[in-house]
Amino acid sequence: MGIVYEDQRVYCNDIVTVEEAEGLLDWLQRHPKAEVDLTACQHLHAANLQVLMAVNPAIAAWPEDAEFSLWLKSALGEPAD
Amino acid sequence: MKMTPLLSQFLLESRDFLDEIGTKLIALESEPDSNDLMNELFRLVHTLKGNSGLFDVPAMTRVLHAGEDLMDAVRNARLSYSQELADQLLATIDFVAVLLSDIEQTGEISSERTEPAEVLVRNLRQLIPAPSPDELDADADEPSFDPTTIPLPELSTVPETARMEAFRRSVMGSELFLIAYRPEAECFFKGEDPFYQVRQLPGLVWGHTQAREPWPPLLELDCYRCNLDFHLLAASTRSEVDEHFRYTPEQAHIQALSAFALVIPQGQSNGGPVYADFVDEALKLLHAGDVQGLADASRVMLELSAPGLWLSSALRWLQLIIEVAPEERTLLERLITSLTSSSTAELTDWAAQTHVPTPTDTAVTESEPATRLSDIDQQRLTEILAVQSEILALSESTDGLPGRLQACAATIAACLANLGEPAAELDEALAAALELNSAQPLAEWLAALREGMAPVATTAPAPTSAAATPPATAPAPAFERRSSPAMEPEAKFGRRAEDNVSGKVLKVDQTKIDRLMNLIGEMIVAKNALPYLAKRAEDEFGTRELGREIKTQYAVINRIAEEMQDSIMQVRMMPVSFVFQRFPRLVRDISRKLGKQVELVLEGEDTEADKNVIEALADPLIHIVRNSLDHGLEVPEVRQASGKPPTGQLRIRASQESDRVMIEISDDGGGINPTIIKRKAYEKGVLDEAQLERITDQEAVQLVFAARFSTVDEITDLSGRGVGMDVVRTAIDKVGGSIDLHSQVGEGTTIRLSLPLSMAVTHVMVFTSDGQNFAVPMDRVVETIRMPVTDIRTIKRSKTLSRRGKIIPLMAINELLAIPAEPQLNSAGEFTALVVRIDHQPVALMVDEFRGVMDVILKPLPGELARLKCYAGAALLGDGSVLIVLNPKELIEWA
Amino acid sequence: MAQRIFVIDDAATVRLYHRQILEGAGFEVHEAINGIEALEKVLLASTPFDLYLVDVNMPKQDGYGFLRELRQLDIRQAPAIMISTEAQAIDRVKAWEAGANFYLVKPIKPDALLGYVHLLLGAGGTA
Repeated sequence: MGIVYEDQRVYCNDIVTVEEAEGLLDWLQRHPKAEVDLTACQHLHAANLQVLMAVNPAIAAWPEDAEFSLWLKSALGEPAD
Repeated sequence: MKMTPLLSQFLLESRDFLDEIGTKLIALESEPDSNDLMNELFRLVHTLKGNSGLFDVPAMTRVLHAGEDLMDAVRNARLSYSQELADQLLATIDFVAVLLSDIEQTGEISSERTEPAEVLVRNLRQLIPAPSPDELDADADEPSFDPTTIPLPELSTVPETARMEAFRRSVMGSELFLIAYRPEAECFFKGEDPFYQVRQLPGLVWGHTQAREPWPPLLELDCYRCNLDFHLLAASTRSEVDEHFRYTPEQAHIQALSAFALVIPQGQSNGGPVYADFVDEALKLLHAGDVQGLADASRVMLELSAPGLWLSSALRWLQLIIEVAPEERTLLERLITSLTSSSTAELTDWAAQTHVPTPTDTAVTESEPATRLSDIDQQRLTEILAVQSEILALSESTDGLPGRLQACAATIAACLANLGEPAAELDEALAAALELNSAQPLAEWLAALREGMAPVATTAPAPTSAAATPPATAPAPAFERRSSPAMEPEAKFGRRAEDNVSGKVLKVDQTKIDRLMNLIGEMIVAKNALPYLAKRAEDEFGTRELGREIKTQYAVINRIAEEMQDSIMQVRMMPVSFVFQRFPRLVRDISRKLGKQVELVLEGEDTEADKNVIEALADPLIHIVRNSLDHGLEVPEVRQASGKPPTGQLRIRASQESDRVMIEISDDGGGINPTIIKRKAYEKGVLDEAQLERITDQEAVQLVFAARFSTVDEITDLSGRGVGMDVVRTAIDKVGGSIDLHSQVGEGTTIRLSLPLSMAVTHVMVFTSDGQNFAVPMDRVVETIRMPVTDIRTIKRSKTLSRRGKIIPLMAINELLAIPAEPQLNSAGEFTALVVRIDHQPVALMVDEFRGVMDVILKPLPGELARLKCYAGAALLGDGSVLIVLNPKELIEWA
Repeated sequence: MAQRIFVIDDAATVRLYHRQILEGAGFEVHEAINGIEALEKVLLASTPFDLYLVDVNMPKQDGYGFLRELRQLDIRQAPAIMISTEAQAIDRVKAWEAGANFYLVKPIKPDALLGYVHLLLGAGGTA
């Protein structure tokens, strides 16, 4: 299962495919305070990545996959760039 | 591309896949909703595409990739199966079949296929549904543009650890590239995932993505228009990087980098200890060549400084360069002097003009005594250990936990072995884990191990913390993925396929047949041990019953082995037409050149023999045919003058006689004049006067085969092109054949070759002499005899025997082999002799005792012995002893 | 004695590719075309294998299934590398749970394959 939506939290698991992007954008717009849990995420299709980058939601947990986590942190986490 | 076994296998398997894909597609027509069929179809196309990725066949890979994506869309119900879809897929497999025959016939895909391939890819891709097709049309024709207009990131934005990692890899021999990749806005509709694409970049050291245009208000955001730019730093090769972006070269700005450009110290510029003293001391050490001292001094300095300082960053670079490229003195010096000003201005100016350190500059990494692994292996090792941590952190509920723990421990143990570390503690941790049925003890032990390795580890630390880190020290994703389909030299190709016999014939690699042949040969020899065993059972252990049973079993094994041998030989059989087919052209060309009229008659072309025999036959046969044309057959005028038809006849006939192939080459030309031969032979000392008188005409013509004879210049016109008939004889001898010549002046010459059907197994006659076993090939043996010693006659100091009214020479094998022993006589006072045929002359060889006939596999003798022509080779016997097989002809001639 | 590597892949071309690389480096290579055949060979092997290279996508029984069963066998367990193609990202968690110890993405370049294989066999590095 790619994306699981809960009350105020969305879990991105395994591989999140291109088809999920629209739903994710829609849900994040309707839940502006929601957090994203990426713990079990292996890969996000670029469409989902840009949704997260545009919405910039709070990240509850970064991916366990270290390499992937670094990508996401540099894209989402640090406004230092 | 060269026709390697790998390529042949690929072609063979691809054809099967295409057949199967075709069948499945047809089946799908009647069952369009079958998930199983669809999945199977996807798997087939997917595997085929994967296989094609091993070769440099981009046209095929692209078409199959499009087919795979289409199939994936159907499989995931994004698209339903339709007639049009089936048509396109069928067109795809037809096209791939064409590409395969291109490769098979010419070794590469014809350049004519590029355009149809593009059309096909487009057609296939058009069928794949896009989430919002309206958008697709709007920007469908975005012009491709110059990728160098895509702005590259500033190197200073790349984290220091990533730059350092790239520097290390550059010293190890990688080229460095800074890449700005700007996927086209519609790329998602083409089934692309640029994020995945960049994550797979070979040698990726660092990557970052950012918005190309500022994000619009969310309500206006179109998540299916790609608005991402990717910035990448890779340590790889140009070809790997180009290959990676081969489908979208216009979207990637790829810039080669000098490693020195990476040396950019960063951080706060004020504060920290006073550096002037250090700079002086460091420069002194550097000039004195004391690299170790410099390393120590800078480490002490670094410990005194806060990590966020510019100076600390410069010191970290200093340490890295000392470690991996200590011979870069200028760079070190600039770096040290820059410490006084806390400025890189000088440094970067200089770096911009300098070259990348070459791999030969690589320093021995003495500072890492714990391991002799290279950086890349070090990194792989770290990667492997990180994965084991990941595995051990998983929930433990799954079945097979003990097995998985053991596998993890085995993996970690291998890593320890690579580092030269003992595994005793690991074994304890594993035992504890198994005891508790929990991964935890092992996971904790591994965590401690990895922590201990941290200084050498180059991968990122634990990823759970989201705490902000300053960019200069942010951990770099130092991972290495190997996914480029770029080819290695091993899989490149250079030689063209010479024959491409298509059709439903199983093509088997020659070496496989040879291996089978060797194996069956060994088995035949091995089975020969059983009679020995039976004999021992009877003689030594007195169990006649067992002996008899062994013999019975031997008979069974013998039969099977022989049948197997026959079957394998059948596979190796080739028709003589393989050689014969060259003759029509050869005869036509030569006879025309010589002004002769020749009719060539070929018979028995279907006769088969072992491939080796056929191949060995080719050269001698051509030589004989040339001789006939050159010297045998006359020009038309001469023929007519002697009452023959103007057109001469050359007949080559092949036939099989029991286990031999007979080849007869006959012409109706002038024949060989024995008078001329005798005279020349006498002149050149091949014959003495007495021999000259005794020799018959038929014997005289055989002299053309004599070694010395054919080197005689004046008679080269008898043997043609300066190469004598002795060469032919030697070649035929070598494969265990014999040659026979009959010539009648004015009527023509006939040469008969007799060759074994196969060369794998040799029949030999085994005998003993002075307690040692020897053998001679059976095709040399005329008979074995036992005669009273009194029958030996000495003529002119040579021993002879009288046999059927003929005097034959008698020699003792011991004497020939320089064995200092007299031949043994049996109790009746008889001696034992083996009569062999040498150039049609019988010669008797005195031996001690016969041991019988045996099948052996003749192997050449090792080393220098192989050059001694008196040995035909050696064979291993069933009882483990080695049997020397003699070449009687050479033995006698050299004696 | 040469270390024994078991290559499990349905594509003969891939098997040959791996065989050539690995045999070229002196390893003993064994092959199976799917998980079921592979399990049989594991059970019948007189000496346990030292490393497994397992394709994800195979007919009859896929790579995950094979590894799951392999890890339940009472044999000397050895590291397993799972091999996927670039088109499908591998399900890492599923692979680890099944019993893989590492994964690589096809087509694997010979130097990378040998590098990892040597390390996983404890034979030192190659690079």
